[in-house]
Amino acid sequence: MNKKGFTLVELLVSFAILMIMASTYNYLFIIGKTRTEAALELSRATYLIQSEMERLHALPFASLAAMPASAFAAGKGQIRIAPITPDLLSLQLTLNYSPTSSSIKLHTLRSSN
Amino acid sequence: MKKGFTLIELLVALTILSLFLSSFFYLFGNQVRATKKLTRAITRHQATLAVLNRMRCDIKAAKKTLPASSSSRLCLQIENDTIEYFFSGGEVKRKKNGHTAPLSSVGEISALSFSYAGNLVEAKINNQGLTLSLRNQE
Repeated sequence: MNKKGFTLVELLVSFAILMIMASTYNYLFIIGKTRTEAALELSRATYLIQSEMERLHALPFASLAAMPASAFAAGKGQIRIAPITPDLLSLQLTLNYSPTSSSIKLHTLRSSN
Repeated sequence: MKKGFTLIELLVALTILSLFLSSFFYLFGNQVRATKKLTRAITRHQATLAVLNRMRCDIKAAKKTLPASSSSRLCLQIENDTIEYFFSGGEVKRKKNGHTAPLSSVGEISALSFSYAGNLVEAKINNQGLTLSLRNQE
């Protein structure tokens, strides 16, 4: 048989391939958006945790040393303070943030003078 | 012997193609809208960070907040300079010794407020806050 054009089946197969390629493109778009949103949230969380550290920094050493483990940012953040030596404290902040339920940690030391 | 498509085949193929294309453009349109929304959010966020970082430098260098400070205005004394931050005409403005300069463009920042506790200053912009302490207090 002498064929001179496409058959319907060939045409449909080519559409299917096109569709798969287009859906990949769409998928990349969605990934890009998700990652950008995550970066935005990380940046916000960084400022939030920095603020909390700054608040702790303004407290006198004695009240920091006596501070129990507590929460900030509506329970999403945790403060843990542990003595290393009598005049040195380890300050550790953890903050969980949406939408990817990631967490960010900030760790620093504070001496008594 | 076949010589190409029949009219029916062509119509079927075009119908399928148009169904596919309409769903594709629908999704594509959604993505474009979502991207635009996200871009706006990021632009606002960047403007917020730019102002907060500028304030960070000033607040850390400041000896004290001046009594003229309020929830809408931050007045700092740095060395012999007086620096004020306030929001007017849709822009965050920084005034140094009588000279005013805008730190943001109209539309980027919608609200600016300050609160004070001891030597801590909390600056809040577009619902995002940054607390900073005055380091050089006498």
